[in-house]
Amino acid sequence: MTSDGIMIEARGVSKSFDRGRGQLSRLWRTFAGTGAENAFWALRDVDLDVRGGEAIGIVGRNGSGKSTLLQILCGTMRPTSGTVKTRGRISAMLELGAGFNPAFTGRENVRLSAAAHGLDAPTIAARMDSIEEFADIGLYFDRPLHEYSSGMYARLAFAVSAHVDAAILIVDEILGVGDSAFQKKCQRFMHGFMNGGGTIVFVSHDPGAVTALCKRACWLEAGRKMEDGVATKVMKSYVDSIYSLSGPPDRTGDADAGEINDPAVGGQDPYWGASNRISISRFSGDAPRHGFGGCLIEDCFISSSGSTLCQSVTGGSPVTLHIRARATRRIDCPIAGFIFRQSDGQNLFGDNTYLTYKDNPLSVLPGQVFEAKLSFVMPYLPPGRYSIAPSIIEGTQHSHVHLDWREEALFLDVVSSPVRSGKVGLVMKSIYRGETDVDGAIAR
Amino acid sequence: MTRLFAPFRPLFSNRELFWQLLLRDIQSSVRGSVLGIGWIILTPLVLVAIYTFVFGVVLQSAWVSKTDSSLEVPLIYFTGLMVFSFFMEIITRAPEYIRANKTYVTKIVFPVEVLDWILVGTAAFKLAASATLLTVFLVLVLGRFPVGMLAAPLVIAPLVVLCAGLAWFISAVGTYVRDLNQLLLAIGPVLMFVSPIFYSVEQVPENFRALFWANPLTWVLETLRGLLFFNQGIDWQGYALYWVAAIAVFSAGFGFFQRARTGFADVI
Repeated sequence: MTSDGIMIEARGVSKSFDRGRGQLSRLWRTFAGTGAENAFWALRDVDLDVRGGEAIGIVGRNGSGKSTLLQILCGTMRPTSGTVKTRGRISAMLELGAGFNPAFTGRENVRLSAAAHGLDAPTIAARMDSIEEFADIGLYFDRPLHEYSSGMYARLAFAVSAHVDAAILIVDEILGVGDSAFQKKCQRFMHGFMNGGGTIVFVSHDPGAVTALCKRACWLEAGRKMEDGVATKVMKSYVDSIYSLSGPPDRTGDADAGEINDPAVGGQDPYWGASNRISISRFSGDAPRHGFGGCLIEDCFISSSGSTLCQSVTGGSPVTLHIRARATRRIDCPIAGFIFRQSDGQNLFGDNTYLTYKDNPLSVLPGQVFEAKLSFVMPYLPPGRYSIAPSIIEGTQHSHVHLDWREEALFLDVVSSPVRSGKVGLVMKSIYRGETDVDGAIAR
Repeated sequence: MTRLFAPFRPLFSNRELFWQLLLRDIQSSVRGSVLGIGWIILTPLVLVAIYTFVFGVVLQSAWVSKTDSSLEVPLIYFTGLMVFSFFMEIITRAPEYIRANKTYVTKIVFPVEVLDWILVGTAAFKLAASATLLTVFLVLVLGRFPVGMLAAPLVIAPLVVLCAGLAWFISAVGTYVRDLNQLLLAIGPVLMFVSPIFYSVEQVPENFRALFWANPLTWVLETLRGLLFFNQGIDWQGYALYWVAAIAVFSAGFGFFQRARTGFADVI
């Protein structure tokens, strides 16, 4: 490490991919050093300085150049122009189980992977126990990798990376797999790694994961750096941009409708003392679906006023979830419902129209559109990505047929949050501290 | 001089990795099979049995009259075949080798130059196993240790260097040009019949002979056969010439590989 502590120094890094025809002529162009033919620019003029003890999150949509940048930082790919200087050993986790051979056991793969990182045989032998303990996959450590689950792969890969004396850790989306206990372990390790002066470059689609680890984030868009700075701020701009750009733009007829209806601006909860802004994506019509048919969910959105779509709401504020569906056959007792999920698939809460309308059945004719509105107070949410799965079923709560069920029809993203513990923060009615009355009743 | 040793540097600084990968490469070809490492011995034996029948029984070989024991003829074939297999293994595996190890190139920080060394290492290991087997057979057939075998590594060394050089070239070009693999697979059998494995160069008509000596296998095959079976020595002038050619190919191949590898991650 130099006195200025800069561990990664990228200057004007650009990368173009050759999409020209002809394998031989491509080989020739590599040799002649002539420019690429029909070039596709994956990266344009990216500067990046990362210091020791710093973790930087790289975010951007698919195809924005994140992976290319990581490969260039690792040195596996050469930039077309610009320079990259790194100091110290780099440990990269760009792909789950990269460099592992499925026919060999975990122990054998660890030996090889550690050797690929430049460790010599005695060092590898000395650290084997510690790696085995970190991976914590029990007897599977001596079983061939093709018997592993993806979570075990991730455990093994991370265990090796944690033991190779890397100065720079480059992690691409690997922590998405593995259970929460392992994720916690990785988080703990990475925090310790940073405190020890290590540098982390972290790529994730989960804004919560980025802000939890990184104080700084860099947002790439079409190969260029859009924003680089305080993670929560960058993530907010990024999340806003993906939601305003995705989905048909003519939906509300007013591109700024989200801003106008945005109660998030300046909204602070008196008990939490901070606002909890929740960005909401547009309804995704091609979200994964299942069900026997009979009706089609055509729209699903959240409003704050009970009528028009909102692109963001705040935790603790009243919201309405709208589900609109069109019947393709006669439906006698439709029930509309939703499940609100965490990014790891855990159900946080959900509800449906059954109990309220069970004595008042509705019959819907083919072609008819019907709507359900479920109003509730949005809880405070910790940073992370959430999704809403709306569904239409027919029958009763106990005996029914799924007609249409959309997974991840809406995404909700939270970048900063006052919630410090638990999966959700409740809207507190009142909070009191003081003396109790003789009979124990609260004095106010 | 330093350029001459440049290809060895990544090998030395990554020796632990090299051994790990070499061991794995050898194991992975037989891993999971019942006979395991036994296949490395069994495969050449089967080949020898077939060629012995075809060229020793069906078509009478000219060598039968020249050797003391008729059992030596299959061993002559075996000698030729083990050298040829070594050459062919490198030539046919090299075009796809970088691509087959894609994740090492694109996904982890890895010294790519080491890959070709592994390719050569595995082939050399199999050659050594065959040579050991051959020695055992020779002792059984001749009733004494074949002294010529002691000089065999000397004869084979420049071939290994030459093949390493070819591997640099072929693996680099093959990563860009997928047709190379098909081309070499097509040439393989042709090469087997234009190399003096089942016959001697002396049986080739005079006016074609110069062409035969251009084949890099010819000198090694002829020398090794003479050494092991006909009490002939090594032609030192030819030996020196062979080394010069081998080193030239080796250095040029490495240089070529180092230039071409800058684009590997882009094309695979």
